Amino acid sequence: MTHKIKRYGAALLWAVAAALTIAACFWLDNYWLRIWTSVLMYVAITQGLNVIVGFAGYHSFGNAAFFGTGAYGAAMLITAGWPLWAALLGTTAGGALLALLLGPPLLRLKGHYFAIATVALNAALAELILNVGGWTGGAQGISLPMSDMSPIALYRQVYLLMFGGAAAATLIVFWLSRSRFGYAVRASKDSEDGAKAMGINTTAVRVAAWMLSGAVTAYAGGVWAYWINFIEVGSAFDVSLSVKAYIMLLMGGMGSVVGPILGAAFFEVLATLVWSKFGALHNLMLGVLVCAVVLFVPRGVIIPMRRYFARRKSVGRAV
Amino acid sequence: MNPSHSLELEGATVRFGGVVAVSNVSMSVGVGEVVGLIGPNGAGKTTLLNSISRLVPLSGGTVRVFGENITRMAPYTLPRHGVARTFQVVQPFANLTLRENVAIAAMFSSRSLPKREAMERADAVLARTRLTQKAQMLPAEVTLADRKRLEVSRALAMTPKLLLLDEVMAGLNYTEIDAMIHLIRELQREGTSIVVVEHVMKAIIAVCDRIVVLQSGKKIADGSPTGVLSDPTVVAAYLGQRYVDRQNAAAAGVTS
Repeated sequence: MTHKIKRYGAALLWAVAAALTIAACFWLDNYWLRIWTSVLMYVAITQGLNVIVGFAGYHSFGNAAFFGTGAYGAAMLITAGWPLWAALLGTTAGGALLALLLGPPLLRLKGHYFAIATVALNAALAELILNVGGWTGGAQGISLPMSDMSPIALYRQVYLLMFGGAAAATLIVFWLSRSRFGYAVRASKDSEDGAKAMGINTTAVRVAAWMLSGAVTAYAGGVWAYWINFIEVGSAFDVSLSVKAYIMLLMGGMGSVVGPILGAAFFEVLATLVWSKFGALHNLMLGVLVCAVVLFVPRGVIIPMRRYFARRKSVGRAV
Repeated sequence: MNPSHSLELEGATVRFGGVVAVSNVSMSVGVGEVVGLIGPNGAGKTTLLNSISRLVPLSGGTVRVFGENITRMAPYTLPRHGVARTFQVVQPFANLTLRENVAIAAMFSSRSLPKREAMERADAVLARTRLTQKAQMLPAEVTLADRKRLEVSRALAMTPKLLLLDEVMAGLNYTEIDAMIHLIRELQREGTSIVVVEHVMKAIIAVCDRIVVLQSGKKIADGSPTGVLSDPTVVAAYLGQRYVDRQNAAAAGVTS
């Protein structure tokens, strides 16, 4: 009974948080709407990274490849006259398909070999898009057709689309944390031989996890392209996007549902504030902050938070 | 092909580059039989077990389980053929509780066991292996003996017909060894075929119907425990030829 109450309480809390996040787009000003849209985009990307890093144990530093592919996919489809929803659906499927094609060879690599391979993948795809030209626009990039909506309506639409991506990515991670498939992914991470001996097809499980990661990241890239209206290879396949998402994941806590949300919100809002207060020194300040996090909460803020709540609970019981 | 055997190896050979770890080993395990696989360190026991469970590919020979050739099968398909194993170096899922570790084994060894039923089976197995009190703990929070019992629990949750036990008694104290022997005997009574790789001779003698001895990857003996353990070749493999010569000399001295 207590377990049920706790579960319903958590569901209610999530529902209230989601409702407040949706409602926020109607009272935030343009400046903060842009920042929170960016936060939601990073929640989606970081949760996508959480699937492959936190759950599957594969350190992908090149998830920007999916973001860039998603951005270019959506840009090309929208320019070709596809409706927005169909372009986003197509680009999400494209991200999953890319992971399906590249997963079997790349996921044979372990540890830093895989990490380096994903960075190379990102660079290779960027070069490909740059040199193909034609539909991809080559070095000139792609300008998307202007929306006929008012700016604030457009920003709200983008905000809600990003919220959809962040919510879907969080639901995927939540599902992973308690489903049969999630157990297969986590077991494959902890002991590959052990998992195989228990009947788990570890290769298929990892490819499927990377497909989820790729799909979510590609969706975020698609919405981003629609948002900024003009894309080029340098910004769409920017490795720093992967690195930033990685820092957010570290800050929040890998393998948890809430961690990436906290990490993305904390880092993005803080980066904006640091930028506005310290100008040219903002990168230095961010560096100091990252060092502090790695030194004091190396497994993310979620771990001390869990400890705090567990302690409060036990004190409550004693009282 | 002989379905009366749970395991048949024919000319099993495993090479790692130029090193022959297992060389042309043939052996069988009858249904419900407990066979001990012994030999000095580096004899190839674990490699042979790894090749039976398909974690290491065979360079030559065939493996049959209940008459079915599994030589080319993927390792993750073996639990569906009734094969379960434990690992010499324990391989727990470190970030999952003992209960979840065992439930995973139950969940994936059969195609469609729902999570709830897998958890129920895990509870039953943990009770049998006396780990119920520690079910919600992580593997790192329990002793080595408990982690060994966790290995066995996971294998039992797969309801195996052929169980491969790789040094489950290493590092256990006498009481724990006795408990493990008791468990193996119970499983044997239930009709499970078992291959036991072990250095604890007390356990080997107590549970095995037959013993196979490996030395430098080759089979050097196969027979009843008393016969095999008094075989001069086996004694020489374990203790050296000089020990056998000394024993023979002592015996000759007594008789003359």
